[in-house]
Amino acid sequence: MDDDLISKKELLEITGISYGQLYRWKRKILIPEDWFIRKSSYTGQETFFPRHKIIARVDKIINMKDDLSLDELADVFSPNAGETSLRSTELIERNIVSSMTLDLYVEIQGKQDDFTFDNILCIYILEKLLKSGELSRDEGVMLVRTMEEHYGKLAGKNGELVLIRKMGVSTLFLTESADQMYFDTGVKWVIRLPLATSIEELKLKMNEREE
Amino acid sequence: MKMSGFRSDSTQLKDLRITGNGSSGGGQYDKVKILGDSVIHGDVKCNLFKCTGTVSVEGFLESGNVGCQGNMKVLQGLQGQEVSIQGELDVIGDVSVQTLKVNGEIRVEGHLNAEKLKGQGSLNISGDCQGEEVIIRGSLDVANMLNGEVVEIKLYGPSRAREIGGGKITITKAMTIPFIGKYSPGAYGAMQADSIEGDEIHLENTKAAVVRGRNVYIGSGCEIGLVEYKNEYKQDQGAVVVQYNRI
Repeated sequence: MDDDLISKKELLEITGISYGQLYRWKRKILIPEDWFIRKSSYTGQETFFPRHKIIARVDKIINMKDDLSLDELADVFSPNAGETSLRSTELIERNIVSSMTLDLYVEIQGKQDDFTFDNILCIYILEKLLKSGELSRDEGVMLVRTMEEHYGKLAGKNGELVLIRKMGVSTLFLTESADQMYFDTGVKWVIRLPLATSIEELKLKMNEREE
Repeated sequence: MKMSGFRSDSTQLKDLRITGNGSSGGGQYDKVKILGDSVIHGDVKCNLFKCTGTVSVEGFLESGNVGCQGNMKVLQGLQGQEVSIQGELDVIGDVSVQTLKVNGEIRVEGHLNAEKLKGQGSLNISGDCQGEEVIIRGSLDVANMLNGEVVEIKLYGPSRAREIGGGKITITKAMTIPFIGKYSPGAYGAMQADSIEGDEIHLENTKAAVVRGRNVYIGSGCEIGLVEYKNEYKQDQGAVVVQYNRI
């Protein structure tokens, strides 16, 4: 899926940004280092990017850079967990997750007063997948248990969440990358969710009301 | 008693002073002052680190301000606010500082990240060199990428960077008053790079395969394979440019 690359020159043409901006964003780590793919071409070395990812990212930066400083933006795009922890009432009041999802989470994990960013991320993903109808309630339980037990090991990396089903039996797992994974024909991919995207969404959502 | 590790309690921090030859296990201090020759076996965290003479930190150094007249060696990375070195700085690991001023030599086996970097002398970096303001008078060797909002290099010796990118990039040759024997070889140096990309580019004595920018000036002594520009392009008569295109 990452075979579709765009050259730096083409990127600047399409998005209208300048070299100065691109390098500034690279310095601030708004664009991750591993998106810069160096390949040889007739002029020597050229830099390419994963097309869809970089265009989406540049659009986001352009749209948000008036409201947030570059450092704040860098924080939004960083795969590292935010520092914040919130109380359950805040989660509901600030409309970050619905009370139904939160109740389900509490039912599984037990009652707690403060929710860390990782907890909130778990609830947020749970809500997102339940709402989209891709996840059943039982699978939701699986999701919470898996996330709570193993997410810490992926923290700071760009992990993915995968749900596969075979003959009505589902398996859910977290992996650093699901790019190279092949199953027998009976297996159906149900969900493949890059965690970084959800982290971004969540951080934006949590930032919204903080001003 | 050997002191090592960081104390996390908020009691008043002590100072570490070494005069003459000495060593320490490292730790957390308010001020570290070294006069003479010393080795610190371990990580150091402090508000002020001052050395006159030679110091080797065999660990990670995290400090507010760092001042050194002489030689300083850090074996596992350096993080600080204002770092000012007169002499030599040698770091294995990444360097991440607000301001770095060097009169002399810097060698970094890793990445160098500084909000403001001002160097007179030579810079040798095995990874990337990044900063909002990178101002160098002397020679420069960056194995990967030199990335800065403002990059100003005055060439006093042979310099090299794989890629240079940023907002405003100015590379000029040193004044023609010969510094006899001071900077060798040659009276003034030259820059060599695979690619140079920026908004405003002004080059002299530079060899590069590709130069891309909005406004590009290629001055005397340059040898460029391909120039791509957006707005404006000027070329000195003493420059060799194989091909240039407006894009």
